[in-house]
Amino acid sequence: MVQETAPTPEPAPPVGRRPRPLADLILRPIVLLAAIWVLIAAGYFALRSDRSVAVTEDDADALESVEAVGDLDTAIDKVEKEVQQLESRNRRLRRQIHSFRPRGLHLVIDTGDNHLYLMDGETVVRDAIVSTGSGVRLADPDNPRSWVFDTPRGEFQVIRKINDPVWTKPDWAFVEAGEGLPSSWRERVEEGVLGQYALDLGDGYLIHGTLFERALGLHVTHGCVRVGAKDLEAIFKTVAIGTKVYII
Amino acid sequence: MRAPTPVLAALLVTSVALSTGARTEATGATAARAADGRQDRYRSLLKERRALHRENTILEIEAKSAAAKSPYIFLDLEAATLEFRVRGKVLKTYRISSLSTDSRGKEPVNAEELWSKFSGPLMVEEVQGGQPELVPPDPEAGRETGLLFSDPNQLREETGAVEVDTDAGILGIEAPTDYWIRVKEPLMLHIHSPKDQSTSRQALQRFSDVLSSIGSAVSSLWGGGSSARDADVTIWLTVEPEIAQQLHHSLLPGETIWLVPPHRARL
Repeated sequence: MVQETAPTPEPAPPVGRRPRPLADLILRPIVLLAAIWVLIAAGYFALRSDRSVAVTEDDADALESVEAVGDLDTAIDKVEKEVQQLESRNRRLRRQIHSFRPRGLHLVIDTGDNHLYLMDGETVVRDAIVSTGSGVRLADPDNPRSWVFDTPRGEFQVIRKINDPVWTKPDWAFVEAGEGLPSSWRERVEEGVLGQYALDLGDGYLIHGTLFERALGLHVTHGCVRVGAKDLEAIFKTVAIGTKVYII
Repeated sequence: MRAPTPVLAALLVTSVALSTGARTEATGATAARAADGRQDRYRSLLKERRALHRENTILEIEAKSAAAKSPYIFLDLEAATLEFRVRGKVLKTYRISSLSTDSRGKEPVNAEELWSKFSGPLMVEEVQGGQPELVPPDPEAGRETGLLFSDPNQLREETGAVEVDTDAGILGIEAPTDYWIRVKEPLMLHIHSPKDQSTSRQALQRFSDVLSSIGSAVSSLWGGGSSARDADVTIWLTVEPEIAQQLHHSLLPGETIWLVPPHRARL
């Protein structure tokens, strides 16, 4: 009997040990170790930075970290003193500005939307639609001069209260109308065109009435402020000489 | 895998050092908490100092301006407002819909950069379309008709009209909604309104921009130095048409505009 013998397995082909490149052999562990080291270090510094960096805000103050100022207590004392000085300066400036502020009864004229506000402190007592300066320029064809019909801006005061004001026409009124200048003063006087009352603000500027009430709300005047009859009367009877007028 | 001995040694040393540091910190936890409190205090003081410094800068501008009788204007690029003030009081505020440094509104303004360039007063020199010329009527024409231009009563009597608006400027001046404000400093403010942003207007604006850049390029090719206008910064302020018109009437040459220092400005 022939005993079958298990076929001898073919010997596995010898695994040829591929020679590793030298660089691979050295670099791999180094990179691996470096990565581990970086991770540990990053964790450590993240932990530290949470405590040691005083300011992390994204602004100029961030530059003043605890490391930069050295002793924290000294730095706190220094900044506290600066804050106190700034607060003191702040209070002084506020007091100074407050001393300039309008108070009591005053008038505010808004040339942007042609409104006049009679104010008592911060309260609007009366709101009137008015006409203010047209802003046009008029040149005198016969003389080297010109006028700009703007309502002046800033702080003024009522220097005179006038009943039944009379208009003494200035030169521009004749130039504008294409007329020659009158030889006598009487030819300049025109009654009834300024309404029943006028408040004189100086430099020829008045708050007065108008014949053209339907033009209220428009920029049509030569610099004066025209007010409707009812509002004018109320305002005239309320304000006194010396009342401040703020025109913006 | 065998790590080279020097590398392992380095790792070991580092780890020991780090663990020692960590142990030390753990034992000093109480001290660290106290330090944290001081650092928080320091941090809040810095913030307070910064806020006060900015506020005082604004107050100093205000105090200086309020000492005079003239009005002054605060342009706040962050809050997008234009405030008219007299004697330390805000008398009117205009809200700006958007601010940009280009006509199409694509480039938002950099408030800090603008403040660093224009922290001083900006003196209004010219408002485009301001002070239109009034042409007086021909005196001869009046003589021919026998009517005087300035006398509405006479005209009413002559013509039988109910009310005659012959007074010069009676119809008012229609202020524009798209115009520039030139200040003495190298800065231009351009006011415009949404209604001006029609397709044709945008196309015109782009065409104008292209022409302007071609002009600059040609100028530089010819070796010409840049003009003062080239150096200008233009801020485009988009506002409602009504506001644009009111602003046109409100701003006069000679008035002063101040940029409000932004919160992150270097003061």
